[in-house]
Amino acid sequence: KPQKKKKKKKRERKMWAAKHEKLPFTSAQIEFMSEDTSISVTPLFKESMLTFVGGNYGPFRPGLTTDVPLWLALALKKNQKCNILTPHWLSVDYLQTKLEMEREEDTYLCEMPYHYLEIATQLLHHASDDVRQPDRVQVLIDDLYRIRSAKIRKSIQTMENDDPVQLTNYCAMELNYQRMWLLKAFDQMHALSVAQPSLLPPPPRPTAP
Amino acid sequence: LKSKEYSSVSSVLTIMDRREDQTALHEDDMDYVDEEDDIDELKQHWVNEVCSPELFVYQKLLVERLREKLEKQEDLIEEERQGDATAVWRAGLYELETDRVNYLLRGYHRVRLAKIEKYVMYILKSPSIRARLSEEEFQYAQGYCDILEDLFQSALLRHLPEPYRSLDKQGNVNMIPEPDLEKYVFCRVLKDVGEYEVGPDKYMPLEKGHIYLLPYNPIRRLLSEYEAELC
Repeated sequence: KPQKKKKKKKRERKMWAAKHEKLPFTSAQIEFMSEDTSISVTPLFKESMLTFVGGNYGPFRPGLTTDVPLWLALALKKNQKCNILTPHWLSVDYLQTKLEMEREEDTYLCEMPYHYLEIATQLLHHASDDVRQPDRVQVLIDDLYRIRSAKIRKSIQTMENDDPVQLTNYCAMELNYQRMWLLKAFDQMHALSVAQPSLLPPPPRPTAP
Repeated sequence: LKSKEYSSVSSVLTIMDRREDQTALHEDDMDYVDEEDDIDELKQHWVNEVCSPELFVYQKLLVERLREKLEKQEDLIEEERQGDATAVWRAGLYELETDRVNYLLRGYHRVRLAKIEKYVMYILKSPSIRARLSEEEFQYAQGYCDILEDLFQSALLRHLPEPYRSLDKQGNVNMIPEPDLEKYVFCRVLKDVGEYEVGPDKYMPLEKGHIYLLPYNPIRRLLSEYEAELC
């Protein structure tokens, strides 16, 4: 019985958090920012140049690959006007390799496209027929995100004082998730170090070059 | 290092539009303005404003250019709507994009207004920071400040004894909220800077393309020179 109560709380908490997302950037906004990424499509229609505020795209010929922004590709896909060529990193082989690399490292994150999570989610949702083995890819993306988040949580435990940190290979969603509380934590630590330097452990001595 | 030392560097305060800087330096290149990146630039300015504690210079030229382009595009959309089915479909796509650009513009102005409201008295008191506002923002700030002062006076201060009625000073203590420039931010470095001072006696190599978690103050200069961006 006590176990059941725990599960309900966690789900409720997640739903509440999603509803009241008060991060400076909501997940939807991060997704919005990712939609400017360039992606290749093969049109299924014929059209001359399309003139947009942000540039001109086209001309479109059936079978002729063109580069367009993701938002346009998704709009065309929804109207069944094109096929999307998934980026090379959204494949079972690439993701599998990356997952293995992630498992080898303790806290160091491997290099991933900055908007990998948003782009993967959108493509798998709207263009799953253009992705090879979409179910497998979905599982791999989820695993990657989970492993990276766990690593981030672990590496945060090594941040003992207010020294600046290099966040190698953090991606948009992961960064945004940590944004609110991590920055606040550092602000507090900084305030402590300014007020009473003895309270925080000393910064490591710089090694001789 | 106190924030006052940084604020004395007046060049840092004028975080100008990139093109304005370029046109000032290279008269021959006056006609060359890479306008295709306008939307990306606005997006970055929006992100910078959201992430930073202080207000940047209003990107007047950029916003005006985009507004002009949007107007032309909206005329085009109206025209296409009168056409055949393909034209209407094209208009739909054009409208998708104008929605996106309008969203960016609104977001940019909203975050600036939020910051202005938060630090209105501090902004109006300092001429150099006042210069970062657009005309409309300045009028808004003045109106907002007046209303705020009226509210405080009528609701509370009027009823307090004489020495406690001031909005900006309590004895010798400054009562105006100021933005905290030591707030930690996420910063992406765009150029290899090498060893950089990120705090009193703290040096750190800043490499191109990497994201760093550090206080806002040290990287203010990098931001104004477009060698770093917030994220």
